[in-house]
This record gives sequence, structure tokens and C-alpha cells, in this order.
Amino acid sequence: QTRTITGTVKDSKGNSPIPGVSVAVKGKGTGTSTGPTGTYKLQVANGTTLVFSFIGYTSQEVVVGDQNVVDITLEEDKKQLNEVVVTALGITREKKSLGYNVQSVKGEDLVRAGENNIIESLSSKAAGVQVIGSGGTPGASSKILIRGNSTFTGNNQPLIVIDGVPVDNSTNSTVSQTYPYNANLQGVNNSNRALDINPDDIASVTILKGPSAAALYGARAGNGAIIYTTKRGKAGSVHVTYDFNAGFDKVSQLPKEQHIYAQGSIKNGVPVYLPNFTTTAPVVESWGPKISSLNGVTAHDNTKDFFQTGTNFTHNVSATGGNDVSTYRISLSRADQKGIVPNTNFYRTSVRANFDTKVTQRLSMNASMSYAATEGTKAQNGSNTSGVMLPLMRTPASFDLKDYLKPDGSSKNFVNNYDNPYWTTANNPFQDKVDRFVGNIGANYEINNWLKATYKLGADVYTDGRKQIFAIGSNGYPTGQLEENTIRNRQYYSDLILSGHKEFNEKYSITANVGGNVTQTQTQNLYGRGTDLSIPNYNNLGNASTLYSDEATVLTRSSALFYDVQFGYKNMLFIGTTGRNEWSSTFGLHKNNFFYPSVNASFVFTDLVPKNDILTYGKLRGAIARGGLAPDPYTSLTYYVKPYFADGFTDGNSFPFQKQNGFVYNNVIGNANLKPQTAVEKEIGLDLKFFDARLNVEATYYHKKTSDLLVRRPLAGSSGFQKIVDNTGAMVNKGWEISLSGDVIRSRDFNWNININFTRNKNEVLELGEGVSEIDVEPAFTSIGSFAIVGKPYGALYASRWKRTDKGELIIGSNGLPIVDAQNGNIGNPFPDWTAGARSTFNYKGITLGVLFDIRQGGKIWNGTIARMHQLGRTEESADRERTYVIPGVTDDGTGKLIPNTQAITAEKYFKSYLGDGAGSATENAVYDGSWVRLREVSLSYRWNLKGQKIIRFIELTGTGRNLWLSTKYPGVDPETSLTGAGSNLTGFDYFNNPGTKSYAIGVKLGL
Amino acid sequence: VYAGTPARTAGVLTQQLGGTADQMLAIDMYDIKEGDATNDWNNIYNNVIQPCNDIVAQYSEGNPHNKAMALVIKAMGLGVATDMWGDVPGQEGGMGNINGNFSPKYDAQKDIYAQIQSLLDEAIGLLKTAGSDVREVGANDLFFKGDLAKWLNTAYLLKARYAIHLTKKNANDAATKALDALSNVTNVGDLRATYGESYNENNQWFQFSQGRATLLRMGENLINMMKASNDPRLSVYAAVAPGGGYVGAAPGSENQNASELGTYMAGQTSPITLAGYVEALFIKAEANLILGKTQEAADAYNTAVLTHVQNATGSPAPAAFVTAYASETAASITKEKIMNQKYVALFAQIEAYTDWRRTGFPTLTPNPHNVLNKPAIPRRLPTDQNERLYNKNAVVTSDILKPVWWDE
Repeated sequence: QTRTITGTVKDSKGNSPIPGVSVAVKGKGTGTSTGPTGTYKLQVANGTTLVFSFIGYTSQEVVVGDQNVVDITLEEDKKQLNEVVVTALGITREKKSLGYNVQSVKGEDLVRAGENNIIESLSSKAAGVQVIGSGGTPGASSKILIRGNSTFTGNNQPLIVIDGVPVDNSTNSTVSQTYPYNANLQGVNNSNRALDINPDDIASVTILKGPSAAALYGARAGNGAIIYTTKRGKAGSVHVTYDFNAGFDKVSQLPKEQHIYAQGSIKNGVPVYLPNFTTTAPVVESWGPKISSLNGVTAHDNTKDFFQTGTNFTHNVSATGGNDVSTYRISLSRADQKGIVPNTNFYRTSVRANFDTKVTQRLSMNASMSYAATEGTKAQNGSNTSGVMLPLMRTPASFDLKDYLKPDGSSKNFVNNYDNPYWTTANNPFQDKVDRFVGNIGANYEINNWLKATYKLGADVYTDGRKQIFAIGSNGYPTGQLEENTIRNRQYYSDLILSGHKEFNEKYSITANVGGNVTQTQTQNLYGRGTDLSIPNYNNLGNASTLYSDEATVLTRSSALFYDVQFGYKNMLFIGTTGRNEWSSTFGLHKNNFFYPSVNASFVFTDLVPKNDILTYGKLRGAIARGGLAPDPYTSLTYYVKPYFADGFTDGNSFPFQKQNGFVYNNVIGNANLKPQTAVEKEIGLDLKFFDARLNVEATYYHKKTSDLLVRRPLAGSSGFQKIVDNTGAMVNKGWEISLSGDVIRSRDFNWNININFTRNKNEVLELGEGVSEIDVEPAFTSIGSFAIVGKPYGALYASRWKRTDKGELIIGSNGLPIVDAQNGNIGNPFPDWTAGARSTFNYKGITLGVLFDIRQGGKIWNGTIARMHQLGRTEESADRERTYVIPGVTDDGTGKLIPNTQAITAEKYFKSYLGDGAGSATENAVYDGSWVRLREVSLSYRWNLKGQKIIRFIELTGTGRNLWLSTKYPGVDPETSLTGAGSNLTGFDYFNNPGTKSYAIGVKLGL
Repeated sequence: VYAGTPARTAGVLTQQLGGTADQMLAIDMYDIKEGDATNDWNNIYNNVIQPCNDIVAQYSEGNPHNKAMALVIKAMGLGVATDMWGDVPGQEGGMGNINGNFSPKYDAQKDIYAQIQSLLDEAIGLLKTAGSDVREVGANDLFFKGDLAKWLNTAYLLKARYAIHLTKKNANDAATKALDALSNVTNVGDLRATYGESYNENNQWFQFSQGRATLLRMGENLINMMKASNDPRLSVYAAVAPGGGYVGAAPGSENQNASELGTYMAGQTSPITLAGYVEALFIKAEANLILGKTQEAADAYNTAVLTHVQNATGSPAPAAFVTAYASETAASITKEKIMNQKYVALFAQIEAYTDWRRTGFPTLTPNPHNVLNKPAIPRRLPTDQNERLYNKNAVVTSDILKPVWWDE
């Protein structure tokens, strides 16, 4: 006797229907699956056992009694034996079949701490990934590196892909072509453009760590790829979710200052108060007498007074719904952030709409559109005339920066060539406004039951309009200056892929993808500058009496044909291979196409061993691949540019000069023989799940050798050129990535889960071409550079050193100070020895507590800030000055014999020329260890699932903290800092960088 | 370069200027490192010698006058390089785009000097070529608007300059050759760099004083010298000090209350003389003195001083100053007088440093607190860091107390 039963299958967590769940009659092979609204209908006999199964969920068996309705709630499968991941080009794969390591992060983990930047929010959440933030100012860029740096002078960051379409994540700098120095050192810390993406729209992130995973993307993914998948609609009634998050930011750490001694200098051994800040030549030092000894002078904590509590408010509304044919998700979000530096802010309004529809039984289409309006006001950092940290740190405690206005409204400065920070943040803003559209449409056609075709067309278009105002009376530009910069970027992408899957004899399977793609990127950068403003506060180029403008355009195009084939045996052994042949307009003139192959294998060996209680799952995997990186556009040519004549101190003279234009060859000579650089990566790994998947380990060892490095190889200036772009040298990154997760406690009400990511990457420059052992990676300061040195890690700090004995002792001169070596050398490596992230999650009924620790061991930072503060007598340490110092070391006793140094020197000499950056000092003295242990995130949330309620489905309350605790020996701002931001390859530079933040936030989420 | 690190270094080392903070204080303390002047070294080879070679190689056909100007400029570039750094690439320098030589051989300074003279001789020959170029420079010439006579005059003047530099090697020969060249030099027009009011056209001493105000002041030696002589140029050379009057910073004093540079050198649009008639007159005076022609020496000296005062201040020298400093006779003229006044006239020029090195005048006391711990003033710049690292043919000299060849 059979009868009809019906029911709905829901997810235990979200209480939302699950479409596509297989409902099978046990032992019969018959059954059905749930529709878009999660419902099913089936003819069964009494006593039948139904098996409900769906990928990502634990299967459930139900014996049908006499009921007519069988509703089922499926639990998420914690074992994840059949986890499906998105790989290159949007191809989904069962994770067990992959021969290389990929790591996924859930969307909810990205938004937990209220980060606005989807790159920053990946920090310490995946092994092999290093995120380097630039400091706590709103919108400042975050840089991401996967498995270390793999190129010298180009972009070291991975390709960012959203829903299968590569998007732009540039950090553009605003600078005129007449600016003679490294543009990254100038102005503000600009945003990386992934900032335009609303983190709340992200469903999941997959990190393709190296060429093995990313070979299908070819030259653009030589540094790996990060695949973001956005949330999509679910069939059924309309579900609306709203959340609100309010965050509060504070300065995390600052250099320690002294507030005891006044402005002044030591004259003939006596501190003299020299408060002549009204003249053009103030004494910027704090080597004066004690403030307490001076009448009418009080001590001020300028730094503490200056920074404010930043706020960060975000709202997200989304609606999902649909029917059997079509589903949709629409979202609207707003982020509203005010920085710790007064008058800095960041605003983002974004909308996104995702549609999926079944046109016919075989043809389905989808579309995904997003628009974001991102804007903000930033403050300069570093050694810029309108930077804020520089005057804050240098100003003596006896001067009150708050008193910043002269009667005529101009700035009352302390350091005469740097603006008062209060005045500059009020009068010299940098503003950017970005309009960005990212979208794609796709079609999916099932040719037959084993073959389908997909087509995708995507566009990423943005306009970034920026304005830097230097008001009349600012120090850098006393007559005022406006800079207008418009960056237009258009990127088109399209691919067509044929995919097939066939199984033979229930033992063998073959999955194949064949396709091609085309990408075009077009950038126009317009720069206009107006100087000598006539009317105050009229910030329009029309107000300028002198105008300058220039333009740069770049057009690149590449196309490729590729395949991806995978053979499977008994769903246990998999061998895959991919290949891509790519033609690119930026390759040299002699060969414009290259081939990138890869092979990988995975073996689930537990399928051969008997089922046991200890080892639930074990997989051995290995992969080898060749990836690439294309040369920068136009580097194969030597072209004329307008020269500038500058010496490192001024901006120099440039053309047009006195109404004469002028051109000479660019100081980088082109190279028509350029090839892409290639990285050959080998990785092996072991994935193990123990005790019914309560303990999971994924360990990977990789070895990535990059050769034919695209190097902007420095030349001896006497050649007539400063650099040549060349395929020179080799570099290796090798390391370990270990992810460990475990359910310490797994019960119905209480769960405790631990997740640890460990990364160790060792980089070594192997060779740099004939006769070259050191090259300058990117110009920094005259006193310190970032170098590639054979036998050392890339990006090694290079500067002046103390002269030492073979034993490493300092050699002290007759003046009691160490002697500086005549030649500069390597003084440290800015990359950490290892990093780790450890997350602990506790669940008790509806309450979730998450704690994420972040550990970084090693990595040196040049702290130019503290060196200068020592020199000026500003550091807390330098307050201990009423004594003499003896520098440990050895000295010549006059006969050539080295004896221990006993000569005492004054505190002034000690802090200026030994610890500081005064005359006679070596830059090595300012290199400090950047190790840290920090509480990266802590969050507590409670969720009420209101079953049976018509209007409100759930309420979730959260409280989060970020960087609440930081333990580091680094004597400065938060060592997670970057002077030059994500657009630069300089690492480990701290020169009056803006400080990092710690934040507290509360949030509420409603499901309607 | 004439307003960049080499010129500032020369000024500080000759104590015309005082480095009072940061990088300039380092120079004042003789803490001179191999990366300090990289930008200037590159300017000489990338932006001066390389384009000149480019013009010679690609555009000289049918354009002899263009080529001649390029050769004159190249000779000046090589001159600055060798006087500051000693042995430098000459024949092979700045040829990367022409023949792919990225490791140019260093020539001995002796040979560089021969090259300078032959470049100038070739330029003189070309400038005398009749007819016009296929592409006339004309008004595009920022220096002389295409006036060939002025270029010719400059070429001869430079021949004299680089001849007189070799007095330590063979004084009579140097003097004879200098006078020989000077017989073609008149007061037709100085080679001057001119500046404009736009930010990118400003005088670089001015821009330095704007952006790096604490770093550089007038030097005590020059200020005291000029005060002692009531020199009428003092008010244009130096600005009034914060405490009033004109004050120079002593070496290592970090005295930021000393006078800043005045409008003569550091005005927003003040021109900088690169090679001028006053220098020619001083060379003439020195050369004649060497050859024992004391009357000619005295005459040239007096004219040089008077002309320079007129040029710098815009009015004739006051009578008292003329009597004391521009009324030398055959009997009274000395080398020290010539060199001291040349030191004043060629204020903030590399020439003053070269002259001090080869003649010892004016008498300078080394900074007693210098980081070298030796009572000596540096006599050169160290070989550039990039040359040491990337030019396998570089002749590296790190010892800044080691004299260059003509200073030995």
C-alpha cells in the first residue's frame, strides 16, 4: 500500500528551506529531490526508510510511519568529507579530488570584526597568507601576499576574482609626471580598490595559493588568486535581513615620549630654553632645560590630545527570494567611518543585485551587478609637509599644538617646514570619490547529460576622482595648491568553457574543461595641478594662476586557450592536469605567447584501509605547476619622457621649463626580449581527519622557484640609464602551511572549536644575474633602501652600518662613538619567520564566543621615527639625560690593540649620534624586531531563532573587539604598519607612519 | 648639479655655507656617504651626458652647431663629475642606448681632462662652421637663443677653466694653456641658468631654503671674510640673521640663528652663472701671476672684482672697497688675494672647492669635531653606491680624504 507524503527540508541553522536535497527510498534507488522552496512529494509504502542527503550536510534517515507530512531539518556536516570548493575559472570541485591546497573562509568570518576592507579582514584567517595593513586611517590600503613575494619590481599581490570575473585591486597613487621620486612615499596612503566591495555580500572566499591552483589564470595569477563568491538568492518567500554595526576606534600604540624637557639646545654643556618658534628658524630640539624650571611654561601631551575616538557605523539590508524558475538577492549597504585623525573619514554606499533564472530546462542564465560609491578624506603620513605624525612627534612638550591659529587664520607652526597637524587636517584635505560598477552576465547550457557550456562576460569600470588641497598658508605651498586627479579604469573579461563529466564502469571518471578567455584593461590617468591660488577656500582649479596637467594611458590585452582534465579512479585516486597558452600585449616583441602547464594528484588512502575509529579520512596530494607573470605594460620599449633635474631634497626643475618643452630617454631602458617570469611550484600535502573528523589537519610543504625574474635591474648611472627591465635572476619561496582544526567539545548544547593556521615562509634570492649581488628593489630614502641581495630574503633593508670586529663588537672611535662602516650593507629582513592565527569558538545554545589570536615571529622594521625622536630628545628614553653613557664596544688603545671602551659621552651625543639619526650615526641603530602577539578579534554573539514568528525570524546581537590586546617590543606605532601601502614593494618602513587602531563594536542583526 | 648636492657639499666644505641640520649637518661633520649624491651623479650621466651623446649619435648629421652645443655641455658634465669624484667614465659613459654598454670603463682623471679639452676643441671647430643647421636651435636655446658667438666664447672659457685646474701638475703649462684659450674670451655673455616663477622653474637654492629651511645657513668663514672687508655683496649674498646683522654658522655649530642665503644665489628666479666672464678674469689673473706677468695679473684681478660687485649688487663698488680690494698693483698682487676674491665671487660654486683644493686658498680650519676624527677637510666625494654595486668596471674610492689626481 503506497500513499503520498509531503514535507519541507530546512537548514538547522538558518531555518531556511534547502532546494535540491536528495530524498531517496533506502534500498530501492527510487526517490526525488526538493524543489526551490525545499518541498518534496513522494509515493511511499509504510515502513519505508527515506534518506535525505545533500552536500555539506549530514545525511538523515527517517522511517515513515503513518504520517502524511515528514519535515526534516538537516544539520551541517562538520566532517566535510564531501566539501565542494570553487577553483579557478569558477569550476567547482570536490575538495578531496584536488592535488593542491586551497583554503576557504566563510563570509561571516570576514564581517565579524567589522572590517570595511575585504582584504584586511582575511588577516590571520588562512595559512600561507600575509596581510599587511597600512595603519589605522580610514580607507588606508591593505596588502596581501600569498606564499611570499615572487617578483621584485612588479605587483606581488594575488589576482582578485569575484564570481568568476577578475577585478581590479590597484592602489593608485596621485602624482604628477614631474614628481621625481617614489610616488608611494608621497601624499596619503591610498586605498586598494577591493575596498569598494561590500564584505556583507560575500558568501565565501577561496584562496588559491600558488601556480598549482591558479595555473588556469595564467600570467595574472602568478602570485595566486583569491576567489570571492557573492551570496545568491534562495527560492521561497521573501527573506529580509538587516544588520547594524557600531564600532569605536582608538589609537593602539604610540612611541613613548618625554614631557619633562623643554624646547632648546645644549650650549656649552648647558641646556638653554630657545622658544623662538615665531621666527623662520625654530630650534626643533627638546634638549632644553626642564619645563618645571621655566616660568610660565607648561608641559603638553600633544599626541594624546590630538587623536580622537573614531567611529564606524555600517548598515546592511538584503532581501532574497524567488520561485521555481528564478531567484534573486538584492542588497544595500552603507559604511560610515570617521577616523582617529580629525577630519578623516570613509563612506561607502553599495548596492548589489544577483539574479539566477532557468530559461529552459537546459538553459539557465545569471546576472550579477554591483555599484559602489566610495569616498573619503585622508590625512598625509610619513615625511610629507602635511603629515600629522611628524609634527606631533617632533614638537617639544613645551609647545602647545592646540593653539594652532594665528589671528589672520594661518597656521601657527612649530616645525617650520611642516604644518601644524590641527591646521593641516582642517585645511589640507585629500579627498577621493570613486564610482564603481562591477558586474557580469552568464549563461549555462546543458548540451546533454554529461556536457555543458558556460559563457561569462564581465566588466569592472570605475572612476576615481581625487583632490588634494593645500590651502594658502600651508608650509609646502605657501601660495596654495590644488591637485585634481582622475583615474578611469575599464576592464572587460569574457570566457567560454565547455565542461564534461563522464563515468565508466563505476570505477573510472573523467572531468574535462576546455575553453578560452579574453581580457582587456584600459586605464587613463589625468592629473591637473593649480598653484598660486587667489581666493582663500575657493578650491577650484579656476582659482589658480599657474596650471599644469598631464596624462597617462595604458592599454593591455591578453587572450588564452586552456584545458583542465581530471581522471578519477574509484573516487579515491585523482590525477589532474591543466594547461594554458596565453598571448599578451605586454610580452616583448620577439615572443608574445607562453604556455603554463600543471599536474596534480590526490589519493584518498583511507578508502583502502578498513573503517576505524581513529583515522576517518586521509589524503595524500601533490602538485607541480608553472605559473607566470607578464611584464608591466610598455617595458619592452625605450621611450622619451620629460626629464626632471632633482637631487633628492627639492622637487627639482622639470619641463616645460620657461615655455620650452624637453624630452630625453626615460631613465629606464626598455628591453624588447622580455619574457614573462616563471614560477615553478611543487607542493605536497597531507589532509587527515581523526576521530570522526573531530580533529582535522591539513599540512602542505611548498617550494616555489621563480626564475627569469622581471627585474627593474639598477644600472650604474654612468651608463646613461638608471635601470633596465630584464629577466634576471631567481628567487625561491619555500615553506609550510599547516591548518589544524578540532572540536574539543562537541555536544548538543555546547561546542568548543579550535582553528589554527600556521605559516612559515622562507624567501631567498638565489641569483641576480652575472656580476650583480645586490639590487635596489624600489627607491626609498637616501639613508635606507629595500634590496634584493643574493643569499638573503628579498626586500632586505640596506643602509649604513656600524663598523664591527669579527666577533661583532662595535669599534668605538676616539670621540667615544662607534665608527660607521664606509660601505652600506644589509641591516635586517622585514619578513616574519613565521605567523600563526588561532581561533577558538565556543557555542552554547544561541551564544557564540569567538577569540582570534594572531602571532608574528620576527620581521625587522626600520623605525626612522624613533631614531629622529632620539636625535631631537623627544623619546621617553632620552629623558634620562643628566648622566653620561659608555657605549659597549672596543677601541684602539693607540697602539693598534683593541681594548674595551670606557670613554663616557654626554647623553646628547649618545642620543643624537648613537641611538638617533644625527651626524655620525649608522641607520642600523633604528632597526627593531616587529614580532607581536595580539588579540586580533574577539566576538560574543547571541542569536534567538524565533520559530513560528511571522515577522521576525531571528535576532542576533554581537559585541566585537579588534586588536584589543597587543604585546610587542616594537617601540613605535602598531608594528602592523606600512609607510608606502599596498601599491609598493617596500616592507618594514616606519617613518612617522600613522598609528594603528584598536576597536570595539556592537551589532544587531534581524532576520525578517 | 650646480644647485644640488655637489654644489652644497662644495659650499659647506669650503665653509662658504654651514650645514646646520640633518643631511647638511652630516656634510658639515664630514659624514659623507656613498649614497648621498646618487641623484646628482645620475643627473650628470642620465640627463646631461646621455642626451648629449644621443644628439651626437642621432642628430648631428647636418646639424654641426647642435652637435657643438652638445659637446660643450658634455664637457661641462664630465668636468663636474671628475672634479668631484676623480676617475669617472669618460669615453664609455652614457652610451647605454647607443652601444649597450652598461658597465662603462673608468678613465683616469688625466685622460678625462684630455677628453674635455678635445670635446671643446671639436665644438669650437663645429661652431666656426658656416651656414645654418637643418634644425636650427634658435629660440629653443635657453642659454643663448642660438647665438653661436656666445657658445664659442663659452667653449674657450671652459678650456681655460680646465687648463688652470692642473696647476699642481705643471703650473706654467696650465697657465700658458689657460691664457691661450682666454685670448678668445670676451664679455659677450655668461652661460647662466635662468629660472622662472613656476614651482618647477624655481631656482633650486630657493626651493631648498623653502622646503629644507633648517638645513643650510651662510658659513662663518665667508661671512667673516666679507664683514672684514665691508664687502658690498654681503647684503645680497646673505639674509639678515634672526638676531640682526649677518651671522655665519661655524662648522658643526648647528647655528640655525645664522643668516640664510640671500637673493643673489637663492632668490626664486635668481640666475646661476655656470661659466662667466668674471671667472675668466680671475683665471687670467692667476695664470699671469704664475708666469710672472704681475701687472697683467693685477689688472685682471681688479677688473674681476669690480665687474663682479657690479654684477651682483647692480651698482659700482664703493670707493673704500675699491681702494682696499680692487686696486692691486704689480707689486702687491698675490695668489692669496686672487684666490680669496675668486672664492667670494664664485660663491656656492663647485669651482671654489676645486680652487681651494689646488691652491690651498682661502686658508680653512677643518671642523674640529668632524666624524673622521682627523684634522682634514674631505677632498672628494666617495664613489657612488650604484657604481660600486652595478658597474663591474668601477674604480671605487671610499676614502674621501684621498686627493683626486690633479690635487695630488
